[in-house]
Amino acid sequence: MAVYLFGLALCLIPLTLLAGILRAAFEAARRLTTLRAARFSVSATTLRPGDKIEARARVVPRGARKVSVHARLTCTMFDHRSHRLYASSLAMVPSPADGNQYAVSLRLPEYALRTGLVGDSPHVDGNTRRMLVVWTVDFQVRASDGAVLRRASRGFEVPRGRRPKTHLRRMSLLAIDTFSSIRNDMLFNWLVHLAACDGAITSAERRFLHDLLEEMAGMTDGADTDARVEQELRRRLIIDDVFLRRYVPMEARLEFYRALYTLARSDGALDQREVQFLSESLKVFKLTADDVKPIEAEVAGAPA
Amino acid sequence: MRRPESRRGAAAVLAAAWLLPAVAHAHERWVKHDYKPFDRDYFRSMTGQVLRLSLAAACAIAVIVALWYLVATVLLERLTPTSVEQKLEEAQRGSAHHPLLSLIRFFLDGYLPSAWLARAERVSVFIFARLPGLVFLLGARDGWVVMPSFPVSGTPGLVLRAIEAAVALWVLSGVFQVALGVVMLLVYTGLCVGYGLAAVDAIPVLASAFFYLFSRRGITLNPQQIAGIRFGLGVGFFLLGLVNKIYDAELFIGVGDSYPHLVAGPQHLFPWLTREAWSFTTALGEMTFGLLLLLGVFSRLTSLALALIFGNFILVFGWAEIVHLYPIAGFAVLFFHASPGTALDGMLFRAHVRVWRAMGYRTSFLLYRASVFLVAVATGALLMFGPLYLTVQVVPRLLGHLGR
Repeated sequence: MAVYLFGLALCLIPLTLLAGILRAAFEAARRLTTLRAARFSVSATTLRPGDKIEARARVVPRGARKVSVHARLTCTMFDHRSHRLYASSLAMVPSPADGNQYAVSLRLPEYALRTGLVGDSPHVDGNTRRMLVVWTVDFQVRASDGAVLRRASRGFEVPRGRRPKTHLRRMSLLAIDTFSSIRNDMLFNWLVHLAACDGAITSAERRFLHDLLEEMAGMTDGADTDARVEQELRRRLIIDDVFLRRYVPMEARLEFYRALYTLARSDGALDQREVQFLSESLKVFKLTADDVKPIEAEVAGAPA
Repeated sequence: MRRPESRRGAAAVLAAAWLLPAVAHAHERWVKHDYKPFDRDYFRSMTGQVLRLSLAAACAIAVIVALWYLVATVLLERLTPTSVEQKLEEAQRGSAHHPLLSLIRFFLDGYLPSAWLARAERVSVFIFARLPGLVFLLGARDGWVVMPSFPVSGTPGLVLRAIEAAVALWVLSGVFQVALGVVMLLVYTGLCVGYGLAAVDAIPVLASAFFYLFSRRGITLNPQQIAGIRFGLGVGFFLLGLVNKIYDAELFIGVGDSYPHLVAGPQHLFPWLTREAWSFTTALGEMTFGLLLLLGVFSRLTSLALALIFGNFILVFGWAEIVHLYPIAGFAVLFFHASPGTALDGMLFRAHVRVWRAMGYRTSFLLYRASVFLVAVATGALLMFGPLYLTVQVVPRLLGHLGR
């Protein structure tokens, strides 16, 4: 019996190697046939919360191929595996002078965690969690069909960010706190994308967004508000859905959905793309159609 | 004055019994194992087929560890509903996930909120806690201590069998478990002193010893007990391969010569399998799964594989191997208990931090993958190839040198 089981274990070696080699070869071949050159850099190696960092790329596609380049500001927590805590993604803009040069400015959120090693002391107890927090700018070069042709990552330090907690219970509080801090940011970002997913943002949707910005950030100037909407339209804010589901209470997630659904209904009936967007958000939040049925009925029955 | 003298006498009888010359009959030792001449040098040189098979075993460990961190844990996290609400939903509606997904989660060592599983774990813990009592009673009846590898005879044997019966009743009663753990440790120490190398057969006793030693009232199973069971069974199985099938290869080759169908079966699948290679690959199989059990990597699959191996012993050899129900009970405990992590988690974290520092405090998923690769290769090299190299290449020469 042990001989057969050992044989099975040995089979994993060629299978894993084959799968790894095939994947690497496919990606390398795709890269070679689509890109002539790709170089990436960032403008700073140390940042404070609230600072801006410029992501730069020089991407030369082969032939007349169309590609897009994206930069994502990411905070990742590693213990013995990785957990992406925050990701803000922006499409990079080609330079008017040289179409192969791309650049975009990313802002580190005020609530950014500090980078580095936490909780790895010899006196840790069972309730203490050791972790490594890192910030990176992740680049992606995508083909017109969305396939990722090239990935690259550039790290930077945030020595003056918020200090992460290591105690397990406090970790949960930190996670909820972090989410509370970014919730408005994320909510607004998602609302803008929802409003735009069925084409142009209608006047009813724009009014809703203006009202929300006034309430959230005290912004009353129409020009500023429109600029913010345009800015959000260019970036996509993502948070690790496993992290969200683990730490964010269901009530908060339902409230988030309520805001999305209210906006989607603000210009009348739901468009197919809006339905799709809402259904994706249900998946991210691990909510079921039954969970949100009362909210939908309430919003649909509310006077405009 | 009489009482201390009689106590000293009893101690002398006990010590004499423990220090009986090593009979060296363990596991393979108690089924028929008359061997025909074989190539002893096969097991005494890390070259040729032995080197290739050893490297393959080390690679297998590295690949399995890498797959665990880069594929299995990611998949498990994706498949696991993590919020309290989701668990409540599952409790209300039954299984909210597709049964196949639940099965995958189960075999990837995930936690499943199932009353049935919790009951199965409690039952397996109860059986594991009491089964040594039945094994000891069998030993007291048949004339061996702990397992048939350690036969006893004469007056000291009678005394030991009486003590064994008393310990058996203590185990079955389930009281004073911490003290029982100490007694089990003493029993194992006695076997080491009395039977030398053959004591590797009884390493699973350490699983029970730690299980009792770390037991706490009102807690079915705590992490220290799990670590103790893992250590006892994992190391036990690892050494069973390394010692009984490589270092003392004549034991297992003797079993093969006495039961030729055991060798003929695998030879149909692997025609290159000589008797020596059969013994060596069987050892590598046991070492691979023993090591995985010890590390806690694919814990449920490994427990199942090892339980199948031991179950197969009972099917092949019948009543003679009935004591193997005891490790099977241990594997059942590990099978039903959701593993909280592996012994390599800390090492991987530190490796990643070192790489992160070496790269000037920059990191990426590529660095994380490189750290996983480093840890996987180090595990395969140090924990699999290292002991094999020592046993095959170093120890025989060292002993030969000392003998001269």
